[in-house]
Amino acid sequence: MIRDITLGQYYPEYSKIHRLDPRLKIIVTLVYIISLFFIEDFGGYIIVFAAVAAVTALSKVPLRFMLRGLKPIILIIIFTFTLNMLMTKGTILWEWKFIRITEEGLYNAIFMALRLIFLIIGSSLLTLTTKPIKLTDGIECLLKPFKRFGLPAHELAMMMTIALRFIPTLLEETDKIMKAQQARGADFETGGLIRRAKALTPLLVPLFVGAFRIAQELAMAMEARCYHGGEGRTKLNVLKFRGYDAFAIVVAAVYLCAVAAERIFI
Amino acid sequence: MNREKKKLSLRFWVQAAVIGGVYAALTMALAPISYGPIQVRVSEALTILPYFTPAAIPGLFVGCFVANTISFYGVPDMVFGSLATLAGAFLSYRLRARPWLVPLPPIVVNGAVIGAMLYFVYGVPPSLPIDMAWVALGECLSCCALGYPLLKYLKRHEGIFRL
Amino acid sequence: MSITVEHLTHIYNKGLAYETKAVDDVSFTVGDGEFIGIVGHTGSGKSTLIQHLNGILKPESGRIFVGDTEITAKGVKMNEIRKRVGLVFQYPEYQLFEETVRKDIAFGPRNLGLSEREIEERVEESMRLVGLDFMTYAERSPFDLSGGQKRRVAIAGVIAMRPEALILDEPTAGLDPKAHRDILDMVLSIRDRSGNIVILVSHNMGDIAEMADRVFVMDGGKLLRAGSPADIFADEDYLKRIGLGVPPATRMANVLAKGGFAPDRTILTLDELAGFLASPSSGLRRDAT
Repeated sequence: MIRDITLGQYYPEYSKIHRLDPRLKIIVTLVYIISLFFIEDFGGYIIVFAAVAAVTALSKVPLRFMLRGLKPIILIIIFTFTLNMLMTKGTILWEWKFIRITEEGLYNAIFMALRLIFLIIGSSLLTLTTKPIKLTDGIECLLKPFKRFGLPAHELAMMMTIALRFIPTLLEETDKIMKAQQARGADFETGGLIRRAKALTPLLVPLFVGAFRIAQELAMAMEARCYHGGEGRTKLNVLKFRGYDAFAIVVAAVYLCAVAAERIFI
Repeated sequence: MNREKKKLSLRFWVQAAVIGGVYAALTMALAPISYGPIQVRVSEALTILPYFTPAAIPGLFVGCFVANTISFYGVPDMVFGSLATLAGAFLSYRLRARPWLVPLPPIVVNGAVIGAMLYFVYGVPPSLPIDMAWVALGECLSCCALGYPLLKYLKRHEGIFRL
Repeated sequence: MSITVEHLTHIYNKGLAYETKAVDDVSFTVGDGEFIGIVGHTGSGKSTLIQHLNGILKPESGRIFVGDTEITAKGVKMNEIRKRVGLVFQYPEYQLFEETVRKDIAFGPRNLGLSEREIEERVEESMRLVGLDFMTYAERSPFDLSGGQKRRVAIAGVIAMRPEALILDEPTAGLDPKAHRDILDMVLSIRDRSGNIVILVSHNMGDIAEMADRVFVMDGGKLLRAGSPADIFADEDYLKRIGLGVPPATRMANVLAKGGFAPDRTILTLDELAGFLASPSSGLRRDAT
């Protein structure tokens, strides 16, 4: 069961998008998401769609992977869509008993649903094309300037790296422990919430004991290799801005201008 | 003397990292109910950990962030969800003198922050208070129904959290 | 009670690019009271295979019979199977979680819904069987014990379910020589007392040769050979080709054979080797004149 889960959303490819500097990708994604909230009509969404389609094509990620990302939130989309459609007041398009669908409602529903979809796709593009480690690197770099305010940027990045590295190991441990307890008759599946909580302790206690054992060994290993924190620490793979990163910035700027122009003039 | 201090610090961060790993691993392992409008994350039961160790504060923050990079809720959840977890964990830690209070901060903070996020960012109707209440409900299920019994149980094994 | 496996196949990650056949069309029968040794290098599928025997894993195709029950059929209650087939995983001490040894061992029987008295009885019995003195250890925390002791507690936890068949996955992994020997003796004594099936998965050929009635050789998910230890370990070259070895005593005997001092049958244990070296017919004795 657990073996079948692929870690994260990363889709391995060697595309132009994959190769972009992660710092750039993070910032562009944030800007993109914020831009979604400035769009007021469907015209803007045409631009968004064009941009997203272009990036998706360049990233060489298969469409079904992109859409797979929407699966978990399909419920929310439907939920939001339905509620928006039924609850907005205005000119009535269709009525049946107490169900009232208004023109404004339909417009709103589609609009909000689209925003949600574009938001998720945009985020997915980030995680699909960026290895978690690179993402962590990017975040550490971007947070460095905040160190002067007391933000332990290096430690945060280190924690993320370690957590990421150990997730597969911990998943295996969880699997093993679950199976071992099941072999002794434990049941993790049936029962109400409280019952299942109690059933979790034979899983969680050994898991924590194991996890902290790992932590101790890791800390010792790091010390043995003279790890002394972030000061003066160098990297094997240094993030560097390259030619097409600059090009990507230009393209992103063009996108922003287009969105702004659309809103102002149309 | 200085090295002693550093040693404690490293162990602290590594323990935090591993707590994050456990949180993320559990969220993934029990995935079907972890992501979704009701967000009954079994791993939310782990929000009681600050009772045992302050390392759980950054630990849960990182765990939540990492778990979210794998989810499909998108960047806003990564940012706000993790920050909410951080704030909740910090408050839980502060309240640890009274065990029954420990599960409460995550419910309140997550309810408020994620509820607001759902309403403003994701446009989930019908209204802000209802969204908040909805999230708080899910949190309540995890934190109280799962978290509190877990807290009582782990109390008997407090030794494993010693740095 | 016997265990029969028919054309068992298990596929991991079905449908994905990295789908693998962990168990490939394996069939065998284990008779009542047999001691089976399963050998194979890491990744050969042995762990996956044994996890099917108590219902932890479900096969892609194939059938498994435990006694008269087809456990792969629909609607079979898992707890019923686990009552009959006990499985001790590798490094079982990592599954300990209770506050006291006695509570941890009681976990299994309690899951079976037994009465408090019955549970108490079984805890005492299994502690005796694994060689842990009840008075000394019952109330101690399992986390305070040594590695070898922890392992015994974990094994006791499975034995307390009184399974009709006991499967152990590398029960001596990571133990020092004395603890290693103790665990093996313990397995033997349990088997002698109960007369139940024991299936031992191990990398240690010497242990297998000493204890098993039959040996199964696995590689790449397939059951390649099955036979008595004497038959299986006679073919050192074959075993080497698939990444396995032979018992140390056998290896030594093979070296001697190459040098012209061949024994008349396969040597499996040190005792047999010593016997061979000491016997007049080996040609190795130099009698004092």
